[in-house]
Amino acid sequence: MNETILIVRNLRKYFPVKGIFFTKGYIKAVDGVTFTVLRGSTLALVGESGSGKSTVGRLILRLIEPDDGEILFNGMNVRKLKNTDLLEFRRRTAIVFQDPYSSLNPRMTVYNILKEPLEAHNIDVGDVEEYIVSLLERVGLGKEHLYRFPHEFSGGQRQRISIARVLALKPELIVLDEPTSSLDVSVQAQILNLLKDLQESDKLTYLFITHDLGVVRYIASMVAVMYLGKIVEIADTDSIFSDSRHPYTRMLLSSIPVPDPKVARAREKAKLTGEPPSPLNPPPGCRFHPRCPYAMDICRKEEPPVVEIEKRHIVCCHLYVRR
Amino acid sequence: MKKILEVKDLRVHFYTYNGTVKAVDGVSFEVYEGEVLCIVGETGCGKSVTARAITKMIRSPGKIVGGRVLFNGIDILELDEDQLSSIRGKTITYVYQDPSAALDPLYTAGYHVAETVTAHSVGMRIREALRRAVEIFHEILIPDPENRVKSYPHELSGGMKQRVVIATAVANYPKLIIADEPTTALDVTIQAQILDLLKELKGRYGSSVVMITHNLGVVAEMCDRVIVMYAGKIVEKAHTERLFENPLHPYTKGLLNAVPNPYRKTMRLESIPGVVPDMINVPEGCRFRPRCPFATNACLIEPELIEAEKDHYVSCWLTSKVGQQ
Repeated sequence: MNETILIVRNLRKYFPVKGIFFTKGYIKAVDGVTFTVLRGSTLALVGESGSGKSTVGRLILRLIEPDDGEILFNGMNVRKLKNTDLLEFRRRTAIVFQDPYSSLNPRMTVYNILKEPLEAHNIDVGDVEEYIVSLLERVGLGKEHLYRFPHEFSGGQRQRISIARVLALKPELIVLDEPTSSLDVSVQAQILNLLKDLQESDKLTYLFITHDLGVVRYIASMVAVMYLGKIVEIADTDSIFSDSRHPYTRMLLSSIPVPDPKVARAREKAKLTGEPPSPLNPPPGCRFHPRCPYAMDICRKEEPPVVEIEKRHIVCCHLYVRR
Repeated sequence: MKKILEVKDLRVHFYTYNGTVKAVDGVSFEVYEGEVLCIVGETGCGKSVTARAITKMIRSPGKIVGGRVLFNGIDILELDEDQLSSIRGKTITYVYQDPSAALDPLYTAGYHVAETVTAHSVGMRIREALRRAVEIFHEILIPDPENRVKSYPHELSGGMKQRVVIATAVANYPKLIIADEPTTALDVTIQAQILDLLKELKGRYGSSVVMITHNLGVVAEMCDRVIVMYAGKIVEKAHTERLFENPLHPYTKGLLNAVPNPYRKTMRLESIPGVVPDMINVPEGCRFRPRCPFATNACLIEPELIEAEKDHYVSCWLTSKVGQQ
């Protein structure tokens, strides 16, 4: 169980902002991100929009090329992969996108959608139709859906098809980029349960990108909180919720509306101020300092170091530096 | 408490090529002075259509086919366009989900507020109204209001844009603010700020709020009373605490169990099987019957909304039977 499947070190991606003649600046979407994922576990990447969480997901799968850093998948250096090795890496990893309306080709039937990955990777599964039906059954659909088009399905069903497509190649690592954000709560619960069941039966590893902390609590084993391209805290899910250390994590936790009026009205709220600054010109020092209630002088000047609070609980904050 | 709005048996139908969609099918509720009333439900349950129908903002192919909307004793649905214009934006105002769509990119933030002010006060100059805009911006905690009124929408962040939309909504001291998913497009930390702001403004301006949302967390945080809608009908209506403590309708129960709670470790979420029904061919009898784990033959007849306990209404045969025994 404690085998690492993915190691990411110091990952960086700057997107240039182009002016008319020359580059005006860089958006530091991901700026030095380091984490590891254990096989069979779920790491949740949480953060607000613009925190770089989706970019991290894409960088790991090399859907966009990183500028710097190291990605090790089962010991392989992902950034150096070429040709057949890269194809093999792509078979063993997969991604499910947020919007099932745009991730399925409207002109292909479900059968063709699910057959395409098999053809791309030249995989022999014997009877293709039988295999595809078995995939559909695993995600709660059936034979009768085989020759329908995506527009005939509801949002939840489309997301099931996306998941079936991903399962076709028996991947090891799946990046789930907000897979339930566009769904209604009752359907979201169905999809989350499905993902949990699949993880158990197939020993899948998930990198779950989301902004919904309720979903995180339910599905994740580890949580990494991102703010403006950096990870500010990583810990076990239980410690994030019961013993969070970074002021931003606490702010995030206290701002989620709790579906329980007694708790919602009784709990003390951290005073919320400000908005995330632009990643184009992030503030110097700790990027959270303009919004942080505990900001000290040092936070404005120096980037906070990585502090290990306890085993598997890392926080980047000057408050926890022993002097 | 005084009732300021009473909706009686509202029916809105949409006439499409595939058939008639009964988006809102006999909805009745009331809004009291100074309260926050939430309407919750999933996509397509008719909550937004209900909100729009309150000031008759239903466009073809939609049509309000029945019901009354009494606002301070006047039936809004009987009014002509001129009379409606004097209500919309003045006594009843709206805040929508997407602030970028609600603001005109060619006008400054301040102009949006000023326009609303001048439209409803005779003889007021735009210059004066802009000063009022600065005042309101100050009140709703937009930093640097003197310069912000001159900003165009694209220069503002999502949260700021939503604040500007709220500024236009409160500019004329409205009696009722209808907020249709006001925080869905925003990040959680900004959402919390906007919710706090709405709560505070409600107190300051003495307005009532009808809040449309699908987020039960927002309901728990904000609302005094809740209406749960399903497939164009109200299935349950209660005070917020009571609804969360003792949900009576199986749909409400399912909905509450389906939300992952960040403050509690859940081993398994209970999901509601199936999907929301097709609104053209709605199921006979109780509309939740095909998805309901407790459905019986009695459910083939449509249940009415009855008072199960004080101020707690539910439309389900399970509860009415309990009541009879």
